[in-house]
Formats: sequence, structure tokens, C-alpha cells
Amino acid sequence: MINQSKIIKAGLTVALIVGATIFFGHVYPHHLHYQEQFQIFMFTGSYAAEVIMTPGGLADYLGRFFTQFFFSSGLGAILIGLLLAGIQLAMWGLMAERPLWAYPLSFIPSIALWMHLCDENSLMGATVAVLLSLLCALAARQIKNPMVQLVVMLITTPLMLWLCGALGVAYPLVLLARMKWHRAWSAIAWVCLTACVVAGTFAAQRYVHALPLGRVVSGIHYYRFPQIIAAWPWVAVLASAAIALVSRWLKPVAKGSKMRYAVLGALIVVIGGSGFAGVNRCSDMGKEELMAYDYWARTKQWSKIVDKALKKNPDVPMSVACLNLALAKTGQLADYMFLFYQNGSQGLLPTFVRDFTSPLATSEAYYHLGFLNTAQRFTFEAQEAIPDFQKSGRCYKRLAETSMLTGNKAVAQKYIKSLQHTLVYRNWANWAQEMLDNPDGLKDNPEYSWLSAAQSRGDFYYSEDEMDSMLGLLFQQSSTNKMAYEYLMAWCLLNKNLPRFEQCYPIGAGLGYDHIPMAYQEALALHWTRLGNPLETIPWVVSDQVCQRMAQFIADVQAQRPRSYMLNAYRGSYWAYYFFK
Amino acid sequence: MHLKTCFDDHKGFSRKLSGGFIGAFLAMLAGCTAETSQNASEVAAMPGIWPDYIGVTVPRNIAPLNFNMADSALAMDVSIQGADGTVIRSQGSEASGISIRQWHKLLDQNSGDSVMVTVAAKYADGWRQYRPFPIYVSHDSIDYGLTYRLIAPGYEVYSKMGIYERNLSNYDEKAILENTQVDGCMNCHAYNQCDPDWYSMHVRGSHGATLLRKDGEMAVYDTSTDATLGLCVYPYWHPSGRYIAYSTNNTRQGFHISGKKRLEVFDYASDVQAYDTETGQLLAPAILKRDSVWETFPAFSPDGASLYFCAAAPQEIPQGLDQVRYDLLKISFDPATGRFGQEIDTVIHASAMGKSVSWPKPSFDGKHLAYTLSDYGNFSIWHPESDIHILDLATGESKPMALANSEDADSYHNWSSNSRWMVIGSRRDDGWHTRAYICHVDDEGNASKPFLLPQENPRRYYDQQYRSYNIPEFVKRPVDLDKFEAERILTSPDRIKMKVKGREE
Repeated sequence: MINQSKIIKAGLTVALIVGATIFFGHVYPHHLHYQEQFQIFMFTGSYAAEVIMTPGGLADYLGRFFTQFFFSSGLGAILIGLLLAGIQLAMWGLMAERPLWAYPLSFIPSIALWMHLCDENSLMGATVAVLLSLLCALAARQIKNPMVQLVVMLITTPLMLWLCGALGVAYPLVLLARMKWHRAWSAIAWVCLTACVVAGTFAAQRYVHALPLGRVVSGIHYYRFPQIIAAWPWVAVLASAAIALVSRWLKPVAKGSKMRYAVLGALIVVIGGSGFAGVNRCSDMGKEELMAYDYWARTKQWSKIVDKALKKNPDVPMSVACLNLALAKTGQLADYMFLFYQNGSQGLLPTFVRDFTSPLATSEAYYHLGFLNTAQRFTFEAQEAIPDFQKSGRCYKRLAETSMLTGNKAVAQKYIKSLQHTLVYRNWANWAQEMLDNPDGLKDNPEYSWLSAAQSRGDFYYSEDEMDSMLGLLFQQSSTNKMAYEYLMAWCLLNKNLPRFEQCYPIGAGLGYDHIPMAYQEALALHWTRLGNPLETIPWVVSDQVCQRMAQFIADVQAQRPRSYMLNAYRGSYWAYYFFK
Repeated sequence: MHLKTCFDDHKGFSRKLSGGFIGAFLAMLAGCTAETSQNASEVAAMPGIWPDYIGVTVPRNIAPLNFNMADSALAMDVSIQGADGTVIRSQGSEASGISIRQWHKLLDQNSGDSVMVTVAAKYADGWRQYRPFPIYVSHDSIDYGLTYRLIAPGYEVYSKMGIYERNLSNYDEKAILENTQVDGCMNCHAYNQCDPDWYSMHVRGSHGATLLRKDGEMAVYDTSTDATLGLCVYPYWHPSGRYIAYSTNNTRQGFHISGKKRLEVFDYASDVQAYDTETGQLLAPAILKRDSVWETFPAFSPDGASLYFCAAAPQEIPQGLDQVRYDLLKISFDPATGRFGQEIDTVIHASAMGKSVSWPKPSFDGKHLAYTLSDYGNFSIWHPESDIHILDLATGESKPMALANSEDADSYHNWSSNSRWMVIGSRRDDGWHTRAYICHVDDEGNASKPFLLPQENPRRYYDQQYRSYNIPEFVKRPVDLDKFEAERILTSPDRIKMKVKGREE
């Protein structure tokens, strides 16, 4: 018969794995995609050496190793679940007394790290560092002679601090906390000695790597912004030490006693409930939504973007830019762009900011338009802006693509070679290498062959203030580049520049529209009437429905209907955008 | 890698030995470089190697010029023979793996002569031996090392970067200062005629300042003043060590939508001035800060009696950017009084030729002046057409350094302290990443074929090096910069404020 307590413990651990897997795999998957894109894990000795040589390098290396699997959110979620369970089991193993009812206590460090991982800038290195430290403490615990154990701890503490970084302090802390001291003075002496060893190691790390002391002490691979101290991993470390300390005084509740399960149940409710509340508080579903848009744009899942927007309008420039790109790629921009929330030209081609996220989404639009140099620049700049100085697999791929398409074979080759050392991008890189060797093969790839033909060729300077001219020149160079034309039209409409719209509108005559797109009809009708012309004399083929609605709109304006009425009555029209946004 | 190659190559051979494992192991060690091209087929052509070191001239104290086969050879066997018959030999699966000690000994023995390199490469169908090629060994030695900034060749944003020092006799590289230690963009570093006891290093960003070290003393300065355009950049030391010439530039960037050129860096205004380290005054004469002229890139002559600089007539930017053309000018300077002359001479009237001069660098022996010539503008590293030219200061004749230049951008350059070696920033390898090439320059200003800065395994190193070599400068000895002291003074708010002469109040 299986021991009942073993079933309970296994059940709770499995619940942690399943909970984390469901959360990161289904509720929060795009945070994992987001994480993966800001690193490039290469299976080369020099990459391993470069990462591992730094303080906390081993934890960082392993953290990056796990993060590469986040490209598949399901796999990444399972890995996170297993790592958190590993930490929980290690914590349980490190408790001095282990009555069943105290089992939920061992979940506290894992929950703290789960909360840490809800932050999009948290790095896996912290989770790995805590796991390695606890596993090391677990190994040291096997030494029966307390004095030998202390000496071993003292000797191996610098090693752990080098391999795991500052969070490696969990190793001596937990060991010291769970020891049974016979004399207070010896406890104080060992704590002081350990503190000296820790301080000495930090000083040595600073000296060897010439890093600011604050960064060494707070840890350098736990958070994407090196100057920010990630709090939750430290909560996990302190909680580990506190639990190890408290566990010395835990008493078992007699078997068969109702109290045994009542206390267990109460702890499960308190710790589980706190964990749920904590994770809920630390997670940011707004960012998750934004990351979803970026991920779908990156992976060209245009219909998912449109479906998502139909359920809930995006409202920040980055997600609106992804939506407009998706509308253009699915042939719906000209007709339906004003059915969705629009925040001006910033939602079409956002202005460049020195940041590692928004330029990536913007570069997608430039790439698909055929502004390959600009797409390359935005990608390059985003990569350079990654705060912890890592490089990005996503960026390397785009830099290789744009270099290949603009004819810079040597640079493309350089990026492709690096990508060939990765797991996620290897297949693409091998294919791209074949294309470099045999460029005619590119013709069989619809995206690349189209971009090869449609890319901007005539040289001029990029100017955010003259985007309409840039788009117009791009269209002039490739008169089949429908997306360039529709972006030009959209740029004019979003900037409410109707004269420019009217001026540019005819250049798209050869694009084969079977009707004037809805947004254009509304804009043309508006422009015509604003010039003081009667609607009946409009020279373009505007549908009767649009004309009638325009006439009604004019009547409503003249009747001075309230703004809320107008917004509601003309929702989804260009006029609502023109007058009320 | 060397042993690994031997092991791989000798697996079959060792299995034939009947003496078991020990015998096989000893045989493997003893015959480490024994597997060669005894039955190699001979090829009449030179080997296809990368970097191309065929026929280059090297100083006798340079690190071994390791190379890789440009194709997918499985292994290589390299023999280097001196004029006296001495041969050194190495094998490698990827790179030539030349021993540093043996290389230096061989070069010392053949100084002023040449060594012949014979390459055999292993392929699936066996070994092939190529025609030997020479490497010429100059009598002229090279300085201890090279310093440079490593930074990704980007646009406005930068990731990890820093100033690094490389020992030219081996492959050791160390960071002088990195932005992991002090947040900021660091560049514009200059030494006084390769003497690292005197340096000026500019840091931009939240801890922005100019780090000056004069005769061993380090201090940080705020170089901006109300009377100048902004921060002092592009430093050049007066040979006396008393003055440093700077320019102040109102710089912007422009981005090409298509074509090979990606970026333009240009000025809306610029002036030239000199800082007197003894009086703490910035000398900014009106003749060097005219609104009608953009002055930049100052460089003192080796005798200290004049200052070279580039100057262009202002244009509307960006429309007129391709009309901005800089001439090379000169003005006299009296080091005793710190006074500039009243007349400016035109040394190279490049604008009349439809060209533009940047980065004037006089040789320290006073015989030549090297400069970059491009079609327009002054940030020539982003111009594929830019080439290095050399001016004979005695005759006034100017010519391109034909052997040293390439099809792509060859731009920033600097002289060794003995004026016999020049380092060039060149994008010849892939058109984007700047690499340091070194060439010999003889008394007549003729450059030899340049060689790429050697690495232990150049293919692997440069494939994985995504940063450019920026502002390479020779140094006579290691740079003695206390990183922690530099961090302390840069991160403190205290700065010595530069004051313009005559406006000290």
C-alpha cells in the first residue's frame, strides 16, 4: 500500500508543476516568447566560456540554455514547472525536521521565483542560481560530521558564489540556518567567518572583472536591467534560510490526529492562496497582450492579430502598428482600418525610440514594406539596446535576411554562421546558407523573391517628418508594391492630410482594386464636401451608401449633435476619426 | 586544437602499433607533427588562405600570423623556412597553430629578409601541397601594442563596448575601460606620440567627462563651455605634452534608405581649439571658430610649430551633404605663448578636386602626413570609396597608399612611434565591420601590403567578433590606467571645468 503522506506530497508537487505549466503555457505564453528573443544561445565552446567566466556565469549559462526552449511556450512552461518543483523538493530535503503538515512551507521559495518570472525582464539565471545553491546545500547536508560539513561549506562557498553569483549565498545561509549549534559563540564565529568569505569573494569578483561592487553584490544575471535589483529571488533565498531555520523546531502531529490534516490544509490554503494572489499581482496581462501582437507579427500569424483585435481593440502604438501591418498583409487595411482604434501615424510606423522592444515591431512593418535598410537599422538598434548586452536570435535572423536581400553576402554569412550554432534557428540558417551559395533558390521563396523585387533602390535619406514622400518614392520604384501605396494613403489619412491624400490617391489606379476601398471613399467624400462642393458632383465612384451616410453626417454636424452621439453613430468611419480623435 | 589534430590524424597509425595503449600514446606524442603531406599532390598555385598574408611585410616582433584555409580543408600542415634553412612547423585542423616562441626566434633570425611559408592542406582525397609564399620581415620593429575601441558598427545605440589594449607580440587583449564598469560611450582616446602616460579619453553619457592623464596624473574634465560649441572631441596632443588640440562638433546622423552606404555622420557646425594643461585655459582664437567655415580634426605637427586641421564651407544639411568637402589646412602655433598665427595655409585643396579630406595624421618623424580621402563629408569609415593617401611634407606631393587600400572603406589610421608602421581601420572583409590592418611605410612613403591584426585562430575569432575596431592607436608600453580610480572619479560629480582664455570669470 502506498504511503498516504507520499501521495499527498507527490500530489502537491505535481500540482506545482501542472499549475506553472498551465500558467506559463496558456495564460502567459508570450512572456516566454518575449524572453527567448532577447538572447541567442549558441552551442560553442567560446560562447560557453564567455558566459561562464563572469560571476554567476554557470547559472546564467544554464538559464540561457533553458530560455532557448521558450520559443515553444509549452515546452518552456514545462521546464519552468520542473525547475520550480526541483527547488521545492530541494527545500523540503533541506528542512531539518519534516513533518507532513509542514510540506507546503517548502513551496515558498518556488512561489517567490514564480512571481519573479512574471516580470518580463526577469532572467532564468536567478531561478537556476537558487536551484543550484539548494542542491549544493543538499549535497553538503549528507556530510555527517558537523565540523567537516562547516569546513566544506566554507571552502565551497566562493565556488558557489562564482558559479551562481550573489544568490549563491543561499548555500551557506541555508546550511548555517539548519545546523544545531551547541554553543552560541561558535554559531556567531561561523557566521562571521562565512560573511568574511562571502565579502572576500565579492571583492575578488569585482577586482577580476572590474565591475561596480553594487552589481556584484546584487547579482548581474538575474534581471535584464543590470542596475535594478530583482527582489523576488532574494525573497526566495531569505525564505529558504528562514524555513531551514524554523524547521529545526517543527514537531510532527500524531498520526491519525485530525489536527495533522487540518494544519496541512490550512497551510495549503494560506500558501497556495498567497501564491495565487502574488502571481496574479505580479503578472501583467496588458504586456502579455502587447507581446502577443509582436509575436504574431514576428511569426507572420496575421489572422490571429486581426481576430484578437476584433475581440479587443489594441490601443498602444506598438500593438496598433502590428494590427495595421496584419490588415495590410491580409488586404484589409484600405477598407477596414478605421473599424479599429487608431492612434495617429504613431500606430502605423511608430517613431524610433532608443529601446529594445518597440523598434522590433516597427522594423517588421519596414521589412514587409521593402525598406530593408531601415528594417535593418531598427533591428540593429533594438539589439544594441538590450540592457544586459545580450544579442538576439530574432535580430540575428532579421539582420541576416536583410543583408542577404540587399546583397551584402559577407555580413549575411556572418550572422548565418552564428545561427547555425543555435537550436531554434539552425534549420533556417542551414537553408539560408544554401541560398547564399545558390541565390537563384531565393526565387522559390515568395516572401524573399517579392522583397528582392520590391525593396527600395533609389537612395534618399530616411526622414520621419517626410514619411509620405518616402512611401511615395518606394511605390514609384515598384508600382506593384500595394502595401507601400496603402501605407502612404493610411499615413495621409491618419495625419488628416486630405489634400495630400487626394493628390496621392490616383497613383494607385493600376493596383487592380475592384472598388474604391471604404476608408478612401469616406475620405474622398469628406474632402469633396469640405471644399464646398455638393456631394452629387463628386468625381470619384463613391457608393450610394457612403454618399447617403455622408449627407446624414453633415446634417448631424449641422444639428450640433453631441460628440458621444456622433462617435456612436459613425463608429468605424473615417469621419469619426477625422473629427473626434 | 594542435594536439587534437595530432590525435585525430594519428588514430589510424596508432592502432597499427602492437605495443598497446602506451606505445600508441607515446607514438602519438612523438609524431605530433609527423603526419604530413609526404604523398601530397603538388599544386602550382598559392594556397587560398584567410587572412591573406601572402607577401606581407611584418615587424620582427609581431605575433605569429596564424591563418586558416579559405576552403573547407580538413587539416593543414605549415612549414616556415628562414633564409638560413631553419624550419618551424605546425599543424592544425582549423588554424595554422604556429608556436609564438618559435615564430619570434625565426623572425629575429631573418630580420631584414624573408621567410617562406609552405602550406599543405588535407582534403577527403588526400593532401595537397601549394606553392610556397614569402612573408617579408622588416628591420623596423613595431610598438608594444595597439589600443582601440570595440563597438558594434551601429547607428545611435550601443551595447557592450570599451577601450581595449592588445599586445602585438602575442594575442593578449585586456580591457582598459568598459561600459560595464562606467555607464557611457567611450571613445576619442589619444596618446602623446604613442606614449600612454599622456592620454585624453572622452566618455559620453550620464557620467560624461574627459579623462586626462598627463605625466601619470589622472583627472576628469568638463570640456563644455558657454563660448564653444560643446564637448571637446577628436583630441591630438602637442608633442610637448602641454597642449591638446580638440574640435567641438555639432554632430548629427542621417540614414540611407537603400544602397551600400547605411549611415552618414555630419556636422551642422564645428570649431577647433587647444587646451593648455598648464594654465587650464582653452585657447579658442576667432580664426579657428568662424561661422563661415566648419573646422575639425586638428593635429599638431611633430615639431609642434603648426596645427593641421580640416575645413569645409557650410552647406544646407542634409540636402547639401554630398557637397560638403573638407580641405586640409595649416596654421602656425607658438608653443611658448600658446598663440596661433593669423594666416591659414591650404595644404590640400581637396574640394577643388571634388574630394574631401579627413583624419590628417602627420608621421612623428615629420616626413609625411597620412589622410583619408573620400567623395564628401568627414565620417569616411561609412564611405566605401574612402582611401588612405600620403603627403610628402618636403615636396608637397600626395599619392594614394595603393597597396594598403582596398575596394571598401579604408579610413582611420595612425602611425607607430618610429613612423614605420601604420594601422588602418578597414572594412575590406565584409563591408560593415572595421578591422585593424597594419602596413609598413618606407622612407618614401610607400606602403606595403597590409596584414590583418593576427589572432590565434583568425577565422573563429573574426567570425565571432561583431564589434568594430575603432580609433586604433599604437602604444609604446601597456596603458597604466587604474580602472577603479577611473570609475571613482568618473562616477563622482566633480569635474574640472575648462575655461576659455579671456573668459575665465
